[in-house]
Amino acid sequence: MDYFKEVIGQEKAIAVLRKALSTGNIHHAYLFTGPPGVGKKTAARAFAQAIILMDDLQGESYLREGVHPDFMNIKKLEKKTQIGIEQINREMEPWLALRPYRANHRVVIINDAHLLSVPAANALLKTLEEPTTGAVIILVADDLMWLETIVSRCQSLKFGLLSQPELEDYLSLKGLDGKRSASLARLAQGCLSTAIQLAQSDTLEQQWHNALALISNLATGDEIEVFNCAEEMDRQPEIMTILLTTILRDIYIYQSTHQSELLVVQENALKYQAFRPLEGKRVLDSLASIEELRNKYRGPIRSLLLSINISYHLRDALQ
Amino acid sequence: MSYLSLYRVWRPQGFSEVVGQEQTVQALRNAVRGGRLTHAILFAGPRGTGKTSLAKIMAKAVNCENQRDGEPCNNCNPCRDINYGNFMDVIEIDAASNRGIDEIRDLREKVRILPAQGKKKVYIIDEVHMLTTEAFNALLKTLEEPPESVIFILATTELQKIPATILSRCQKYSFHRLTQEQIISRLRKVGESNAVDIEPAALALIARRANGGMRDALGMLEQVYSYSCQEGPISRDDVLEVLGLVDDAFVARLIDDVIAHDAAAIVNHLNAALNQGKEAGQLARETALYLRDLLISQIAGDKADMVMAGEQSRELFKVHSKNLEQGQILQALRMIMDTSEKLRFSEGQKFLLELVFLEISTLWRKPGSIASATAPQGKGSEFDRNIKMERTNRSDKPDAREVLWNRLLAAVKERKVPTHALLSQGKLLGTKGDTMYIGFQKSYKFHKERMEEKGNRDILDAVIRDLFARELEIEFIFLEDNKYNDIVVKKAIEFFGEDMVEIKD
Repeated sequence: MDYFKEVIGQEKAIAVLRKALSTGNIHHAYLFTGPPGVGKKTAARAFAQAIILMDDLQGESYLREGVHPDFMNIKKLEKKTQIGIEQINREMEPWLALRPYRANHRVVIINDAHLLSVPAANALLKTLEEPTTGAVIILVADDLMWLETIVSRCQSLKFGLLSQPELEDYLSLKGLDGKRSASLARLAQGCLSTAIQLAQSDTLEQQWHNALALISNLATGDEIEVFNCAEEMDRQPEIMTILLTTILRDIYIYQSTHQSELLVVQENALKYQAFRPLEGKRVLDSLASIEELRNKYRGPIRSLLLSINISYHLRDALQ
Repeated sequence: MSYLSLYRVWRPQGFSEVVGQEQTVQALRNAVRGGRLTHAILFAGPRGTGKTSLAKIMAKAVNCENQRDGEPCNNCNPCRDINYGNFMDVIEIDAASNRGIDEIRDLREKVRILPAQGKKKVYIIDEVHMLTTEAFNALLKTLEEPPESVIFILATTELQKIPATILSRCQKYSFHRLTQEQIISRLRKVGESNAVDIEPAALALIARRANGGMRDALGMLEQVYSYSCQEGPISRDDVLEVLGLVDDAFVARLIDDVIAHDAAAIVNHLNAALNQGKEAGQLARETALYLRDLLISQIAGDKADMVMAGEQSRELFKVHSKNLEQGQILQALRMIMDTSEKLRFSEGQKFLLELVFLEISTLWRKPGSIASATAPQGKGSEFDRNIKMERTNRSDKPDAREVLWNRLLAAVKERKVPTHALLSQGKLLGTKGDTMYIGFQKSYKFHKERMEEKGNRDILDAVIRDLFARELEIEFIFLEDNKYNDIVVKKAIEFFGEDMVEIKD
């Protein structure tokens, strides 16, 4: 049975996991890293399932219900900003010290491991180095730049952005026609979750035109345009942010290279000529700030405020 | 028996097996042999250099029944029990998970009990830097004068977090990062005993990337050989592929594009790399390493220890090292590091990466790049001139006026920032004869009045003299707010004639 069929792309990482499964040489600690939305969690889940079902053939229904005694999933608690030390040394460690109940391995997945607090990460160190026999710890993280003592204890697997063809294939499999899936795949920039989000929006064309209009208003108009833009964005802020930043990038790339093949959306190349030359440093700064703000849409901050901020950054880059 | 990872299998079991750390090993071995071992020892050093391993060896050495020359035999009952972790008198404490005062109080109680099985009770307190302040303080008395049969071995990666009172009660041993040769020879040994054939270049790459940590090196080796399926020796390319590393040749080519100022090639190269599944953050980090190598090689010459640049990129590396100045490299390095920080959690990684390389390319093109990084309108540079030409080609007069105004503002800013703040609220209307008109809106009365004061006027005069090499009278005028824009356009067209020649220079 193929556990990894839901993971799109990532052949290299999956090949390592398959090899481990087929030879039975399962390392005690894995670290999955890569940008958000490229299939790390799906892969971790599938791998855990495969390890457990290897020995516990009847375990599938337990896993489906999330009650398998040899599987644990640790994630950030609601209303907390980090994974606390209690979750590691009160919940996980005693559980991991026990022998497996049904299978031959106990598997724990730590989701969003980059959110581990400093004490929690340190508490993990000893267990991560020499856990009891049969324990497998899978860390899933968006980011690699944390405690090097943790990284050095794990087999680290990198999940990269998906390539354009992979995304296209996936989207066409989901029933989108060829042309649309191609353009969505370009827009999504290798990120599967973005692609899905874009595919679910049925007014994308319209939004694209809106975004173009907003950008040209911001480039020429007064400060009031910032607020118009923010209000316009606020209906579907996340998608609009993607569109707006894409246009900004395209304008700059087109101005530096004059090659429309390099653009995300090539049809618009001519329109970009009308913009005044942008300054690289400011575009870079603005994009960086927008990236930072964009993640906060999922947080508790009012989206209109974020949209206003983002609009100001866009205006900074354009004027 | 379930599968054990390489770094656990290859944990050194005796003093002679420890790689590197010669002085520490020698000192401890002599102490064990002579029975002059102190009761509190602190091991400090980076990850994967042998702290925990040496602590375990010490525990065996003091308890071993037929210890020879200070070396544990690994054969007697205590040694074997310790290896399996069921020896009662060797207590390994994870200080990061048990960091509170209660755990230490508990330890204090139990310290008094005599050893049950062996000669000495050995407490190995690993990750000791995570103990709370209270816990550290509770430990102080015990650490100073423990019962005779007890040895404490503390191990940590972060020495600076240990209180001075603890430090002064321990014998401190520093562990150093291992050299590449030490790692290579160990890896070769591991490879031989596992019947894995590895090319020297591959070993060298792993050793370079391990950054002095043996555990990292063994982990990488394990990953590589457990993945590579094909026959034949493991090559350098296998290592790059499995570890998702970026080839130094690739980075060298990329830097080449950046120097050549070929924007299209930069974008294409980055695209290709990302489509192959390379990670944006990794690319940024590796570029930073390459730049670092360039910098170090310029400073230290042939003695430099390279992290990134290897055989594959030698030729290009030499060219780059010749063509770039230290200031330029530093600047680029700073930008790359800034960006890789920002890349960490962002989803639009690709755009940021492209932009930072394009931006570096622009910077490197500018002569005296450090100054122009801050000034918005730098001079020179073909790239800039391209843009400027475009600007003058298709734009009309008000745009050129803006260029002049920005240059004026930048020059004023260099002299005095407050003046710049005042002046920036105004707008350049144009020049007529020997008079330059600067307009302020009614609401900026304060700014206008301050600009008319002598000090600020002098600064402006001096700047104008610098820029145009002639004297100009300056007149500040008010504009009716609602007519403001009309007048600007009209006046600009009216007055702005011959002066254009001077602006373009």
